[in-house]
Amino acid sequence: MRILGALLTCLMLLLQHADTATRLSLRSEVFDAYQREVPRRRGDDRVIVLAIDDLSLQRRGQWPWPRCDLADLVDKLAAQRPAAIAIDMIFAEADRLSPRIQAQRLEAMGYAAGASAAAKLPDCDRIFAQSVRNAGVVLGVGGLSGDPRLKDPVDYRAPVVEIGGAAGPFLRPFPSVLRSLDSIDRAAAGHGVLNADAEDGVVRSVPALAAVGGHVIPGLAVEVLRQTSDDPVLRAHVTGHGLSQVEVAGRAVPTSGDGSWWIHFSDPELRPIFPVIAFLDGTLPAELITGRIVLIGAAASGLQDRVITPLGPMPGVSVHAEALDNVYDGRLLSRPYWSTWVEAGLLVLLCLFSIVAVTALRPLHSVLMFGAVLLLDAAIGLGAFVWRGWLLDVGTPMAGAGIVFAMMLSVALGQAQQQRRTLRVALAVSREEQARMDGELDAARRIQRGMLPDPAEVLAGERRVDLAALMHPARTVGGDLYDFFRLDDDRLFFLVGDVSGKGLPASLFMALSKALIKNAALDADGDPGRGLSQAARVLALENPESMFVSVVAGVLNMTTGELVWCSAGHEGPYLVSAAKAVVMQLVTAGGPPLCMLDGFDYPIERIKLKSGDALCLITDGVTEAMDARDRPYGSARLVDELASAESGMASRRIVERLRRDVEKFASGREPADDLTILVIRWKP
Amino acid sequence: MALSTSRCADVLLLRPKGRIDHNNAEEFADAVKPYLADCKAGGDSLIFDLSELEYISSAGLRVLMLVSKNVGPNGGKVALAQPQRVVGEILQISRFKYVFPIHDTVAAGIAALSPDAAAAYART
Repeated sequence: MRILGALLTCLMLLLQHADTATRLSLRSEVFDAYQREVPRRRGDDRVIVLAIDDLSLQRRGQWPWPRCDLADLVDKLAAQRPAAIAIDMIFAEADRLSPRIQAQRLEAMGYAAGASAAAKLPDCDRIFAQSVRNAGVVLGVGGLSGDPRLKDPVDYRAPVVEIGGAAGPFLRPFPSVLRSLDSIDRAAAGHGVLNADAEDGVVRSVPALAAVGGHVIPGLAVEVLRQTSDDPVLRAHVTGHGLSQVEVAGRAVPTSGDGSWWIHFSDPELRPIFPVIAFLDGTLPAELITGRIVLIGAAASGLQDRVITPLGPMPGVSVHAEALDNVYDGRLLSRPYWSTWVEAGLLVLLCLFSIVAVTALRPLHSVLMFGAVLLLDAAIGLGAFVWRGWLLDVGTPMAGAGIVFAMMLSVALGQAQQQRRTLRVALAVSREEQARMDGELDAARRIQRGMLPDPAEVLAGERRVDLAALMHPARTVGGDLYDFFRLDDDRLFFLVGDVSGKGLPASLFMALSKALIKNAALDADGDPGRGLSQAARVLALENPESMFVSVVAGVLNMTTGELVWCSAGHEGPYLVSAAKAVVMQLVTAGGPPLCMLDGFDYPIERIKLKSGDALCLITDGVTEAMDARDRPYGSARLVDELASAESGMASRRIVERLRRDVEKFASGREPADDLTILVIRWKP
Repeated sequence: MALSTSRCADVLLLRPKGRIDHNNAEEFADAVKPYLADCKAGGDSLIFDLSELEYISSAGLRVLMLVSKNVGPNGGKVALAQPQRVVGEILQISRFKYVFPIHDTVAAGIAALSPDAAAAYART
């Protein structure tokens, strides 16, 4: 089981390490969940977005606008002294609305006169370039994955100092470049890469630095930051894992090795996007521009510059605004190079927990515990995001451990089910066994019962004595015994005995004892002492288990009432006197139980009964019956019970009353010992 | 049932406590067994101090009888002492006095077995 868990864990580690598509999309899901659960709260408002939106197009006409108009916009913005202006666009071709271009077209169409007039008009591209130069605008460049032989031809770029090694080989490569028209491009104060990094269609980061056309170029946001600062140099910090951070304007932007800068997005609904037209027609207070960073971009639905972010769609220019906000709000996310190790560690820990939980706990508990640990794992990820800005993928370890847990659990449940099946079979077998045993015991009980004599048979037609007896085994069969038989016409031999122990072994010894004592008694011709001594000698020969049996035995002359009796380690008989209605226990020196000592000669006692006297012989199942508070029935209660019997009461009733009283006393407790009662009344 | 032991010179006192019945007689037998070998070899004498024994059934008596059969023929000395009322009655009915000497007090039992032990016991 544990080995299986360990193998599964290794497999999950491999899968996690392999950066499969599933793993990456799961990772993105986790990062998006962080953004959705804890979106950035906007703080600094120095970055504003002016958008060429639907309203602006509606008022000013279709895009593209003549560049003279754009030049006018830039001039008006510059007049308000913003901290920086950046345009999220590339003006790659000449303005076809420029009068000079129109002149060529007029000429081609045969309107030479108009053409010569138009040719004297100013060139809009030149006017725009002039405005760009005057205002110190930052322009975008596009990184293309086109022909790598097209090197970036320009010689003006932001100066990048690479510290710790060359950044280029690590950065995201764009083999070729798309720039604005040379005259406009050259006029710009700076250039930033516009590309955002979209993974499965969702933008989560922008390049802080990228390798475009073989040169290291900053992203638009980084370039704008550089423009707002006195320090014209970008410092790229490079380690063995790639780029670690870009230092710009005295701030450090942490990056992934390939130069990506993870953005913590704010709710797009909460970012105001001002229509360009509102600024141009004066609806927007012009002083709003002063001291702020103005990003101009397209937002009209027809211009198709919309991107999907974890917080929903927004204009492309807003992504750069968000990046700048991240810097000004001090909310900088990063995916440290060691995060993969942390994630591997989490996976191993979660898998180990799964293995321990499944092997040590009940299924339900293990599921609950595992759920709790997953929550903890999620809390670690969210905590790292909120407090440190670290992007840790806690989802992949969760999924990996989940698979391990589910497989382990199903194997464990399968095993448990197998075990239950085995147990059921074993139980069925043991029940069958028990039933057979019960059957055999039941047979043994019937045999034992059958061995005990029936007064109606033995004493049929005998009116001089009234005898009743019962034996109740504590278990199915018992070690108590009673017996009575005629020695001749006058004399009746009777005994009550108790074999040490209970159950089947005692019952076997009881059967043996009964047979041997009867034999010996018949041999001894009415002397119970000699009979017991003789029986003891023979019994000792057949007694490998060293059991013993206590016996009280007597011979009653039914004509004269003469009683000869003796005791082998057994309670003496109780005499219920008819005349005075008193009960007394007969005493004798007696001897130890049969088989306890070898060669003991049992002394006898003689007594003469009066007519109507009754004898009651019992075993310790009566006197040692326990009540709920562990008090014994005792001989005092026995004497009282016997004394309360009416004079002349039938033996059978005396036995029954006594049995009931013992039962009542024990109040439903399981009898601890076999119980035997024999009552014999002499009434010549 | 619990069995504790103590020693007075060459007499070993075994003190069963609680009840000995059919259910724990085997346990009692096992507890007693380790002390028999020495006694059997004519070494220490044994006294069962019954002052804390509440009840003993025929199964328990059988264990004591086995002790007697085990030790007696080799000259080892065993005695019972100071039984409580119920146990005393059971011993009396079973005529256990024919198996072991039964003394009313532990002191009397020790005195009967060994003067040295009696002296040691008197000091405690």
